[in-house]
Amino acid sequence: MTHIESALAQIVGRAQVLSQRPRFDLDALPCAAPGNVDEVSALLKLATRDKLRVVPLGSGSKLGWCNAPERVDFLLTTRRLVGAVSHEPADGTIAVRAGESIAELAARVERGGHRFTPDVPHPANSTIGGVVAAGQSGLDRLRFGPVQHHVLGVEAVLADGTITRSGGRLVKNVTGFDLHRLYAGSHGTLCVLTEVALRLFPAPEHEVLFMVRGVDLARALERARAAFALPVRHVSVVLASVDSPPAGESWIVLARLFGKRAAVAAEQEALAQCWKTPTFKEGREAAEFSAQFRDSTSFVGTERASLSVTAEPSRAPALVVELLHELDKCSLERRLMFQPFEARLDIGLPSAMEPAQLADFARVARSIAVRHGGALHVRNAPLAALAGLDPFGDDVAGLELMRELRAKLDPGGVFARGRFVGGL
Amino acid sequence: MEAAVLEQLRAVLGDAGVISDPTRLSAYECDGLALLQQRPAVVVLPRTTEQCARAMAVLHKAGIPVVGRGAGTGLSGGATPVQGGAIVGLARMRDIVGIDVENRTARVQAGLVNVDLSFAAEKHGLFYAPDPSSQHACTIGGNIGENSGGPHCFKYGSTNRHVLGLVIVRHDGSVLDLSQPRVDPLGYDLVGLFVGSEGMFGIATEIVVRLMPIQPVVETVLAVFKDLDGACDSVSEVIAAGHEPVALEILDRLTIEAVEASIFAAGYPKDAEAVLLIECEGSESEVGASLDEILAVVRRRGAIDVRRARSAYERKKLWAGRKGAFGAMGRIAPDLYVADVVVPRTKLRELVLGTTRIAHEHGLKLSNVFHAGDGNLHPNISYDRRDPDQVRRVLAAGDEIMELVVKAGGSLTGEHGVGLEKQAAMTQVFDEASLRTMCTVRAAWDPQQQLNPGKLIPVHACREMRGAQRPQA
Repeated sequence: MTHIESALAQIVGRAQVLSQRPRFDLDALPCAAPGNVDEVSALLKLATRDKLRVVPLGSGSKLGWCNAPERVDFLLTTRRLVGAVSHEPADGTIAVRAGESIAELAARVERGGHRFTPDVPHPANSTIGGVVAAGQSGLDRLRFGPVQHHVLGVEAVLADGTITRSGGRLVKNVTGFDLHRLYAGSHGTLCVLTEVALRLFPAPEHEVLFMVRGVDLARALERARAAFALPVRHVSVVLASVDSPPAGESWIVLARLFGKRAAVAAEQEALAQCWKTPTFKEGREAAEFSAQFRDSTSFVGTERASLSVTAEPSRAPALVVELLHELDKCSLERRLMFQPFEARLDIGLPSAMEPAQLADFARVARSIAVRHGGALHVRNAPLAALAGLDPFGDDVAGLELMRELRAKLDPGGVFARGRFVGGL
Repeated sequence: MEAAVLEQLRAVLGDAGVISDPTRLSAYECDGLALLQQRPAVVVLPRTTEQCARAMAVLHKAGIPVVGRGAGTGLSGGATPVQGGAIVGLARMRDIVGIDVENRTARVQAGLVNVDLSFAAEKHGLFYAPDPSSQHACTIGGNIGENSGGPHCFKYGSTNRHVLGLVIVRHDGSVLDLSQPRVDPLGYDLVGLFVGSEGMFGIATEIVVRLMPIQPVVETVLAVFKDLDGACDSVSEVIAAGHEPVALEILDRLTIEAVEASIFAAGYPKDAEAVLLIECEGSESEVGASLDEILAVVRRRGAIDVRRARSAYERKKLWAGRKGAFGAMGRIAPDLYVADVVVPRTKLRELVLGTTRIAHEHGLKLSNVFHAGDGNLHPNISYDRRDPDQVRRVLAAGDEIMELVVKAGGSLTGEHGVGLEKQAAMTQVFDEASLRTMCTVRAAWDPQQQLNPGKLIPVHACREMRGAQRPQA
């Protein structure tokens, strides 16, 4: 046992000093799994005292979204911090410990007659703390918005071990600065989230999933736009393609509806008339197919590199066409998922792609995205592809202020640097 | 104020953009919390971001503290001037820079009056969702500072869910342009953090907001109750049953009487103990299904009458009564103390009763008009500020109401902000470490604490400069 492992074991117990990679292509390091917030605090105080560098994580499924840390001595996982702190079904709120898996959380709130957002892939392998820290929105974003909109408050441990709170557990609250908005999406560079309070939504009485298969992009977009123009509260409208050139893209279009039974029935009728002869699934079958689709089109937790491209909705279709043209030029096998009204395209690249080719393509794709007023995030790329390529983006507005915030909240540099945008 | 500084400000803003005459300065002595007053040394009124930045640079160099101000309708003393300080008023920055119909966004100057954006967007079938009761006067920039709400935020969320980008003038006059809308923030969410920072991080001068599509069907219903409990219990049951109306607003008897005696008379029954204003919108089927079930709840909970608005005119009239309620209170007494607390929605009835009890114990007249769907109570105390004893009792009652609510799991403010009014009570909600963290974040934005000093964070927590003094309760 190394000196660091011994020090960690003194705080969390020997059995809770595990081993994990800080990124899928780096060597494994000691990983402490604290069982309560005081142990989290003690671990960070240790790191402050001994000038150790830490990467916090939940299950670690999104560590590949970041760059490699400049230096890291140990990992700190919140996966043992599970269970509800408070659950008020009649008030539509819950506060849970950050290591609760998304699957467990979903089951817990369902028992109270609710669901929560975001609907993220591989729910058994993601924690709520990890999802919030990564700012990961779900396939239900069209209806519910991004994840940070429904985080009511957090408990967070700062780099020096200070335990702090922001927000609360109420659906409306403007008491104090919204530091939880700062922490959401900060990828563990500012704090360790130990508790998250969320707004809940009524569990749907009924669910319907419409599909159109085997259409080209133009027709797929046409269908999507027609659906979007209806007076229907879509949960999601998604286009996906898993085919490769030279056959050309063959797209599937999905539109998901849920809510009160009577309202969904009327929406179902409207969409059926609009799409003429679509395939559809209902009830549990629709929910299961949606979950299967969500997981199959996701690149989270895989070693397949992906590009997440975003832009304004009006510019997204032209951006997609241009990117597809570039993919064709490189004859790249790919998987595509396009959410046209949230203006996000996720491109799954071949797992065996050469790092240099990946980097070249990412640069070209980013320049196209930026030209369309958008941005591009490189996820799960091997480190060899990230030399000189910031996975998050270039020319970041407010980067100096972000550095100042980081320096103020973590003056000793306890949270490993170099992982987030601009080397934060 | 030194003559040389005034001269520099006039060089930037012209004579029309600088107020230093004591008589005219008196209009800026307070915001909607008239209990707290402090005359500023100067008021500057920029017309553009560039003017604002240059004026801020002058003030920064001279070491003059700055308080940003929209329309001054805030109710927590957030825009109360600082002694010897400047007010940066946004009243001349009222342009709608553009409405992007396809992307459902608008870019506006911060001094734009809230309702004017929805008026402009209406012809495109769009509207701006946050709708504070003061929306005919308050500005989008002020709404950013306070993270304002409004009746329709029950469904659509407060201001921070509708702001996509900002242009911010910082403490030293530098301009931080975060106005490029992003699907996800690139780096830390500075825009999300800024909203609700009560003017302590910078002055927002241009804002990109999300617009919402006007729904095809809107149903507004007034449910009339013989007691306030029935209205409160209806709301708790509607929430627990998973319904999603757009708004659920309660007015009690005293409020109804004031409204009906005012120019905002909406036809509320004067013999009712409470009315519950319910609005549902969406597709015909969605609204129909939801409203039927909600109305079944309110009848079961004792509604003696249910009135549906039969036209847009009737709907507007019902809302005019609700939104004019605070103004109508002027008929009860010359001054109004508007409390703003949030309670768990399961405890509406007991906490409404509790606030009423506190007011009665202090011999004060309290009326209730509130965003019941969010649990956002506004216990309103009518008083006369010329009577020092009344002022003392009002402040004491306000403090007790906050204490009661916090003990029951509630919060100090749902939409008015902390400002000066609730600064001392922050220690009831946050421990010292959490308050210190807020100070740390603030220091990254404004190292010298020149922006709205003495607000929000209790003085002992981070050596804040003391601003306007709160009268002793």
